[in-house]
Amino acid sequence: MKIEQELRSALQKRTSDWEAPTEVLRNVTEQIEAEQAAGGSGHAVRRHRPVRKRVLVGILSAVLILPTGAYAGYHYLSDSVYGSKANFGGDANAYEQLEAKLQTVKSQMSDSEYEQLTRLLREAASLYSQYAGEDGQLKKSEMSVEELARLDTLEQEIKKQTTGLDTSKAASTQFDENFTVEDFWAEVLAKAEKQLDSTDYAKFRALVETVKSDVEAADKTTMEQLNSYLLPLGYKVEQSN
Amino acid sequence: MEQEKDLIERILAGSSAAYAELYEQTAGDLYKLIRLLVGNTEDAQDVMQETYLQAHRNLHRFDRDRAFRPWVTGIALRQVKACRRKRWLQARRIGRAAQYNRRTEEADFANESAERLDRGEWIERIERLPYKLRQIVILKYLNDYAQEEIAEILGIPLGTVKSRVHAALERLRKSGPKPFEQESLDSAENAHLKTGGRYS
Repeated sequence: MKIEQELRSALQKRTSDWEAPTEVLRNVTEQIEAEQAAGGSGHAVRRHRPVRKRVLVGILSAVLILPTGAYAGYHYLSDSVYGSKANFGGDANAYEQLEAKLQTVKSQMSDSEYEQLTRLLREAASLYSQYAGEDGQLKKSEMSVEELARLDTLEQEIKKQTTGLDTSKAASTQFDENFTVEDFWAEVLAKAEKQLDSTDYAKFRALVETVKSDVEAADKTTMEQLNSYLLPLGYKVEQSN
Repeated sequence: MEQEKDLIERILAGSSAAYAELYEQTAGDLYKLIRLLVGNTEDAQDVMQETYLQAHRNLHRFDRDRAFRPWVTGIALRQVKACRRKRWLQARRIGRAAQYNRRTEEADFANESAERLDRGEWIERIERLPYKLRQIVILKYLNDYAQEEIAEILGIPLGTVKSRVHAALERLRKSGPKPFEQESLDSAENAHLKTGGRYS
């Protein structure tokens, strides 16, 4: 028998009674469903990872890079309070800071505690958005006594629930002056090389090189393409204003 | 192929049943490959699980004009690599764990019939190949991938695949099991030498 036939036959015999364990499918399905239920939508979901947020300082470019623990279909926690970034009165940075704080708070609370806090925040945010002026200040004079009292109660309650929680981490990780654009891309490429196959990695690398060499060329499509690779890796890039 | 495309469309639309169907279609062969490469059922199960999770997470980037099987095999091989790296680090700490696994595998062969022992010997020879060659032999002779497909799965040039196949076969030929008669003859000769010819 030719060596190739012998090898084929030996390998087939050796593995003939090996069957894929059924619990693998069960575990995979359970994990996918749990991830989807935890906030992901569709297929591109990922396990929770600690949020890492860095706003790069001193980038003379049109791209503001915000690596986050985000994934495709990820919802900003702040969105659960404000609906979307567009509904938030403050500027984008303030929204990101709120997001960072919420992420930090969430990591220190149980699911039920966090859910309760979100309900309170949502109600408070709804009152704020109704009565906040263009300057972002609350127009208390326009509010009814009941609404004022309710807002006061909500604020007390939120304060009570978040007392003792450390949100300083969120603030301190907002800015990292020593972390450069080069560092960021090097970190991302190293991670991508481990997780992507060679074809995808080559495509991704080419995109990164394009953005690095001419940041002005980073149009909406390029950003979307970049994010389709970055989000599963736990990063996200956004166009700065 | 069209059926596979439909299945993937359904998975992307959120169907767990469709993913289970795709798993049933592909998991059998993949499990064999993984288990041969990692050498034990426990790690094989972990690698399988991580492979199908990764595949699901990245399915939106999969080019649906291509076949799913080589793509998921590529993911599996990267997971095997990660598992081997992790095990190597553990083995450094625990020391003799790897040897223990090996002895267990060998004990399995001891219980098999003479015919299977002969085949088991091929398996042992394959297991002794350097990882890069072993991987190619299994992809080619167990999973029946064409050399072009192997090149794509591993992200290496076709020429490299060909030279690795050649090198693997060379090594296996040199160290391969001898034909049954020859082996018996050798054993008889050894017995003769050991006993000083008293029983011949």
